[in-house]
Amino acid sequence: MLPHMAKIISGIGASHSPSIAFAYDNQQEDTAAWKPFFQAAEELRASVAANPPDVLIFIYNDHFWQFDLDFVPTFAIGVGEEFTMAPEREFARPLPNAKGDPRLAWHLTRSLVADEFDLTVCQRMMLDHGFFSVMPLICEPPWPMRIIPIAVNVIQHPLPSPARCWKLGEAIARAVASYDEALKVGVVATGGLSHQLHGRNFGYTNPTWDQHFLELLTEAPERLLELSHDDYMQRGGAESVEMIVWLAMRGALQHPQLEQRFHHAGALTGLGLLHLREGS
Amino acid sequence: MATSNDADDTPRRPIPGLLVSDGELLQRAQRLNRLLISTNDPAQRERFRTNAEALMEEYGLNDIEKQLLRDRDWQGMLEFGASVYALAKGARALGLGLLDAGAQMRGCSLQTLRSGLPRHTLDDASPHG
Repeated sequence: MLPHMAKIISGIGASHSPSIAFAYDNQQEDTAAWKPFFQAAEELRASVAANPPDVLIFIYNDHFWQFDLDFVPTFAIGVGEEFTMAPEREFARPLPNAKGDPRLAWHLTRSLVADEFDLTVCQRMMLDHGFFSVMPLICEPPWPMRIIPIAVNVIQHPLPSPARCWKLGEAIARAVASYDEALKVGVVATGGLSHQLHGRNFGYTNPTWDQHFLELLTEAPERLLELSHDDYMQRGGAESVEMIVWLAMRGALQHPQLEQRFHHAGALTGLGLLHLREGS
Repeated sequence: MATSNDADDTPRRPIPGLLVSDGELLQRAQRLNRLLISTNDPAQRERFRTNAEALMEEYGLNDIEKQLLRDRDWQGMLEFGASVYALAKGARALGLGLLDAGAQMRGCSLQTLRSGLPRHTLDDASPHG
């Protein structure tokens, strides 16, 4: 790597949910239900702060706030200067907007489109809990890092395949490696883990699968690429298929070293955190 | 039924009652989904609470969709093509939580649902026949 080029230094995976945001806002971090997860988040924040990225490429999915069913991009990137928070609550959450990095975002866009990822390009993007329930787990406000959001459709089938998500990560890595500024870049993916939010098995979660997923993602991710969407859904519940977004984060890393891996069986979703450091 | 790929040793089988959120199915309920998603807007939430009939007319809901909504039949809406994320917005607009809708879909009381969480086993019996 040339010293004046950008470099991916880490990958982070995290569950997202409105309940994480609610617990954070209402100081429930020390309650029995949430303490293990928020303690793990404290550890995550400390290790991120020890060598902070300048920019996070933040891969997530929207829940009909920025995009509704009139318009569902499979992949979308935010190239704006600033990203606002979707008003998911009756009262605004006390968190700042996120700052973008238009120059890097446009470089990513050019590189990804040349790499056959035909992104929808968004000058304005409103971010929901797919971003704002997770960002406070990574760092304290005011946010010390710029972000570039990349939204992946994982809620209206047909969805991109697990292998396609992985290739998105590989293409992101190529784009970052060809950026002419000495930036430290982190890649974040959010979603999951297991949850089933409808039907007679509403509330089902599968901690065995969640833990196995986190291990495979770290050590043998190729085995996760061969699975179909149906395989994911039958293990973790229909809505857990958003776990495939994590493959994009892992696909952006070449020699990851395990920094932190955490799982807790939450009430409605498996709660996971994964922090990988890119080796040199 | 085993799936074709065995990437792990996790015991698994098809989840009874699992519905795939397929775009073509969601499109069948596009008027209903559009109405539910419109409750992102606080003014729409208020209208939904106080004058749902007018809102249903405005969004062009058909008779099936109207009845499902009047009945607060979350499972029925889902099977007709409502997205679960749109349902969650509609339930919230009516002052309900996701768990209230979930309890109805599971065919149990809110208290029973809550006390059974987290739940790591699957139920076969359908409360909906």
